[in-house]
Amino acid sequence: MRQLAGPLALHAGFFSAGYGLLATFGVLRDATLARWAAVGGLAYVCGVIGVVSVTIVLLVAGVPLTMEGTGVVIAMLAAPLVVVLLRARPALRPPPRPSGAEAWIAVSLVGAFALVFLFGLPSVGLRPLDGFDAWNLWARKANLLFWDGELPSALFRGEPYARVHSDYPYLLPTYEALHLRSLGRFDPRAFHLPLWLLLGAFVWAAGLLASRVTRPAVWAPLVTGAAILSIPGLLTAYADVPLAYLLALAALSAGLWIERRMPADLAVAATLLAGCAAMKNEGLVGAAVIVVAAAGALAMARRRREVLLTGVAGAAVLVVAVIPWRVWLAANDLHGDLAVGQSVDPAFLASRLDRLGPSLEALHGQLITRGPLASLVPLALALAALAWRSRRLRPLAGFYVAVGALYFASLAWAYWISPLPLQFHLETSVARIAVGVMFLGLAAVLHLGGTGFLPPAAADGQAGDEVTS
Amino acid sequence: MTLLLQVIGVLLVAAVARAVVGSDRRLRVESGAVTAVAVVLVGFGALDGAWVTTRSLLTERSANARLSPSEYQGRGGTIFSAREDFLTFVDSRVPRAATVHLACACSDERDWISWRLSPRRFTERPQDADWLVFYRVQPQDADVPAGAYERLVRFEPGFELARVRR
Repeated sequence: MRQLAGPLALHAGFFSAGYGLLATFGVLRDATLARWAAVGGLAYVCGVIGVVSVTIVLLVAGVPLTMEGTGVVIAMLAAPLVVVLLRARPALRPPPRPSGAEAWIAVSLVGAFALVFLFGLPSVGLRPLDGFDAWNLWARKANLLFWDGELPSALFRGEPYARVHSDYPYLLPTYEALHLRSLGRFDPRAFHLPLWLLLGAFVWAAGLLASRVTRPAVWAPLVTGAAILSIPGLLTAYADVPLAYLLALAALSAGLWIERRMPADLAVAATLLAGCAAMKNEGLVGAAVIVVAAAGALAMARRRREVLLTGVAGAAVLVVAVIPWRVWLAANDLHGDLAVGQSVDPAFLASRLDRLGPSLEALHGQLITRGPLASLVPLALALAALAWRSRRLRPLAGFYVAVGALYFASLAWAYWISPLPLQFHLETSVARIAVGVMFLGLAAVLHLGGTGFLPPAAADGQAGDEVTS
Repeated sequence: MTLLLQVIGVLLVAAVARAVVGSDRRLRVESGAVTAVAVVLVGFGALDGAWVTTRSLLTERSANARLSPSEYQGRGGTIFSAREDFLTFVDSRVPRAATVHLACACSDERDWISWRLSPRRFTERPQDADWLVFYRVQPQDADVPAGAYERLVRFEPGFELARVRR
C-alpha cells in the first residue's frame, strides 16, 4: 500500500507545488478547468524544480532530508494555489472538442504517446540500473541521500570516491531520493520511474508551450516524436536527456518571453533555467547561454526594460540554483575536473589546441548522423535563416541560433579544457551530450516553424506579418 | 561542412516550395515547407521508434520481472565480471551504517563495489574502517597489516571479509 500511496502523494505534491508556482506567476488567472488540465505537465516540471531546489538549499544549510520537511516545502510552494482557488474557482466549461482532421490527428498522436507512456510505466519500474554513470554519479548520491538524509561532504573527499564527480549538482539525485523515500524502501530498480514521469511531463508541457506558437498538426508529431526518439537515452538513467527536456522547455519559454514580453513567460523560463542549472554542469552553461542570448535578442529589439528583467531573472536563477551549491562545494573543498579558472588562459588553451578540432568534429558528427532527432538542427538553422528576413522575427531567430551555437561551443570548450583523455570523452559522452543541442533545435523548429503554421487563434492577427526586406 | 550543406539543402526545398505555390506570403510558405519536412522526418522516425520501444518495454518487463534480487542488483557489475555472489555475501554480513575499506587489485571495479555496497562508507585507510573487504587479492598480499583485523571470514581464496581490530 505504502509503495503506491507514497509515490502518488509525492508526485501529486509536485503537481500542487507547480500549480502554486504557476499561480504566483499569473499563468492561472481566470483559467477554466480545461486550462488547468492543460498546464499540468508544466506544473509538474516546475513543481519538481521548485521543491527540489528549495530542498537542496535546505540540505546546504544543514537541514536533513525528511518527508515531513518535503511536505512543508510542498505546502509552502502550493499555498498560492489555495489563494487562487478561494478567489475564483476555475470555470467548469466543457473542454474544446477537437474539430477537423488536424485536431483529430493531434489527439491521435498524443493518445498514442500516452499509450506508450502507460505501457512503459510498469516496465520501467522493474528495470535494473546498469549504466556506469547512472549508478556511479547519480544513483549513488540518491542512495546516500535516501539513507543519510544529508549531503555527503567529507566522504566525497576520500580517494574511494574520486570519480563520482562530487561537484555535479543535485537536482536528479534529490528527485530520485525523494521518490525512493516515498516508496519507503531502497530499490535499485526504482530509479527509472521518476525519469519516465519527466518524459510524460515534458510532452505535456512542450505541447502546451508550442500550442501557443504553432498548430496541432505541427507540435503534436514533433513533440511526441522527439520524446519517443529520446526514450533509449532516457532509460540509461543518465542526466543528459532530462537536461535536454529542460533546455528545450526553457528555450521555448524564453522565446515566448522575447516574442510576447509577458512576465509570466519569463518567470516560467527562470524556473526551468534553475532546473537546467541544478541538473548538470552543462545545464548551468546552457542556462547562462539562454539568459545572455535572450537579453541580446531583446536588446536587438530595443527593449531595455525587458533586458533588465531578463537580467533580474538570471540573477534569481543564480541565487536559488547556483550560489548555494557553489558555496557548499567551496566550503567543503570539493571541486570538479575542469579547471575553469585556467580555461580562459590563452597559453593553456593554445597548449591543448590539438583537442579542439577532433572535439568539434565529433560533436558535428553527432548532428549529421543521428537520424530524425539530429535533423532538427539543420532544419532549425534553415528556419532561422528564413525568419531573419522578417524584422519582427529577427530577434527570435537570432536568439535560437545564438543559444544553439553557444551551447554547442560550450560542449566543445569543455572537451578542450578537460584533463581527461579526449578519446575517453569521445567514446563515452559525445553521443549523449549532443542530445541537448538537438532538443534546442526542437524548440527552435516549434517556435520559428510556427511562422508557417500559426495556431488558429493567432493566424488572423499575424497574417500580414511578412518579409519586410 | 555537412551541416552547412544540409541547411542549404533545406533552404532549397523552401525555395522550390515557394516557386511551386507562388504565394506572395513568402515567409509563411517557405517556413511552412521546412516545418513540413521536420514533421515528416521526426514523425516517421518516431513511428518506427514507438513500435520498437513499446515492444522492447513489454519484452523487458516480463524478463525483468523474473530477475532475482542478486541478478538485478548486480546487473551493472557484469561489465567488470564482478563477483556478485561475494558482494551479496558481504552485503548480508556488514551493517549498512558500517565503514568499509576495500583491498582490491582492481581499478574501475572499485567504483562498482562501493556502489553495490552503498550506503556503507568506503575509507581510504584500513584503520579508519569497521570492516575490510579483500576482493581478488589474498589478505597477505594486500596493503593491510595482518594485525589490523580480527578473524577472517573466507568466501573463497582471494574473496574474504574481516572486522577491523579495535
